[in-house]
Amino acid sequence: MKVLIFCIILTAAAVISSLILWKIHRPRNSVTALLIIFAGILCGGLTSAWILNKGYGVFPAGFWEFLHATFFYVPVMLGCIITFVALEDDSPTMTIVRFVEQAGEKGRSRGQIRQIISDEALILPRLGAMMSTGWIEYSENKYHATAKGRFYNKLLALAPKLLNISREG
Amino acid sequence: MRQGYPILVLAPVLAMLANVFTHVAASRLNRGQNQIKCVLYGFLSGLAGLLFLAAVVSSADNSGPDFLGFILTDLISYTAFAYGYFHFVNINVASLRIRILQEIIYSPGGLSEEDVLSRYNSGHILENRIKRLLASGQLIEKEGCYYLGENRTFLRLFWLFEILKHAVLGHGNRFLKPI
Repeated sequence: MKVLIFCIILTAAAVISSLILWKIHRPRNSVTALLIIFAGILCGGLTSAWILNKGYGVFPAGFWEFLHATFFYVPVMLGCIITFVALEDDSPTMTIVRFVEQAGEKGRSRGQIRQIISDEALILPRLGAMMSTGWIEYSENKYHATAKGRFYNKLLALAPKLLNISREG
Repeated sequence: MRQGYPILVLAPVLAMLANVFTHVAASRLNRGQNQIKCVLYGFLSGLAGLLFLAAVVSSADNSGPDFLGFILTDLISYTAFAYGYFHFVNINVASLRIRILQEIIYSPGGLSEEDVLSRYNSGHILENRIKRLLASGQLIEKEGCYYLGENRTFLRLFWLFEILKHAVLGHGNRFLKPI
């Protein structure tokens, strides 16, 4: 049980630290900021456990317990980062469903839905977000993909190839 | 417990391998259709693998509360792995950023803002999303108007995201703000 409690404390510390940082100053590159916070807390936690564990049995000890804690923490960290990033963009699908629900029995026409999902609100923020993560750059009035952007595109393209699905957006 | 402990440590990773293998096989058998079902099959097969490994270790060497803690750790770990994997798959199907990035990559001279909007604008997005919402029963269409369908999954997700958005970002959905 000590591995589980240790991991929950580390995760809670990382989430609370991230929330505090977001309240004080929202970082430009949120993924990098979250990776630094979560990885820093994991390294700090494991180092503290290694130094402080003098036979009390409160902290994880030994290779397997440290590996167990890491196997818990890393996927939870990735899950938290994915969720944080997903929150930054408004999903058009969820917006459409809520917008239709707001109308109740009157329903919504395609034109009404089109009014709230505009290019300015949907496409331009995403171009800005990709610029700040370094996936694209803007020069001579045009957007160009960077090496980093091409790398991520290739990496993500593995799934559709394996699964035989199309990339629709 | 010490003898079986390495198996319990590695169990979420092994379960995740079973998850991916089953998902890929199911997806290819279904020719890429019904992804939600394929993802579910993958998740359940991994979960079955995890519980099987836990049962094997438990029958050989059970030491009470410690074992329960290990299993809980593994279940959370496996669920988090599966959640990350689901997003990795879903980002390819539904991510606007990736779709826009592709448009830019496949244009050697780059794209201006007008070019991007002409190739992939909110009109296209609307068409794709409404098509998917109608197909999954989230929306129904009657005489040119859209109404909520029986399936309320996305509506529930909307409210979950609203709560999280307020907690993390301090604001809710920005599309709906003017209404």
